Amino acid sequence: MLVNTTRFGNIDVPDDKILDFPNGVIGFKNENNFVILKHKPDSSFFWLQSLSSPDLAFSLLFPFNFVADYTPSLSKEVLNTLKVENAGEVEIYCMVVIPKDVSKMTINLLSPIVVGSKTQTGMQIVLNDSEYSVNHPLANSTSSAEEKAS
Amino acid sequence: MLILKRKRDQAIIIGNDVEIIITEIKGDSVKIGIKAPKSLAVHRKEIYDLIQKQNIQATKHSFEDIDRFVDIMKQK
Repeated sequence: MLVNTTRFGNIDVPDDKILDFPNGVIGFKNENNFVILKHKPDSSFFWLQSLSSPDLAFSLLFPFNFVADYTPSLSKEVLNTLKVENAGEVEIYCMVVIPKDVSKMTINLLSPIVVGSKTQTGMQIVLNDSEYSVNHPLANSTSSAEEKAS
Repeated sequence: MLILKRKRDQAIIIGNDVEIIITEIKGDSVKIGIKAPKSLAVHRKEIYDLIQKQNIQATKHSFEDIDRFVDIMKQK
């Protein structure tokens, strides 16, 4: 499927990479079709790119390389919505915010994006029963993790 | 917006599937019971608004912003 995007130009998205977000994402309930794009081949950054709004893309980070002991729990209802049998079939990403002062970069651990790897279904969940923060500071952990990745 | 007055233990039904019950009233604080299908997410509004705000912030980066960030972190 040919998709127009602001950041990547026109891209061809294979059908098996098109993601259905039945509930959209908080604040964007009418955005239901996305693709997850890797920022660069060796990067931990990803983009949740809308298939209908070229300019709309959320910056994502794969959280487990950067946050120790991050254990988001996935309820039965979430697994049902994602059409998977168990949490092992789910990919988890967190949105990041990078302000002008990059040392103040934060990651949203409270409401991650979860995607059924083979079911092409995704959603944003809120870990209400957890102590996770919507803006967890990343400054110290990021530098060592990016070094490990390169 | 529909505004209804309820006393403690009174309830409201929304559609066919959502029930709201006032379970306790103490001073300024009200305890509200919510019966809704598990597929329907229920949020405290201030949390929802906070997440929405963070989500919007996460859409504001350009491709170059991420590269610039990675470069800065590599220099540290």
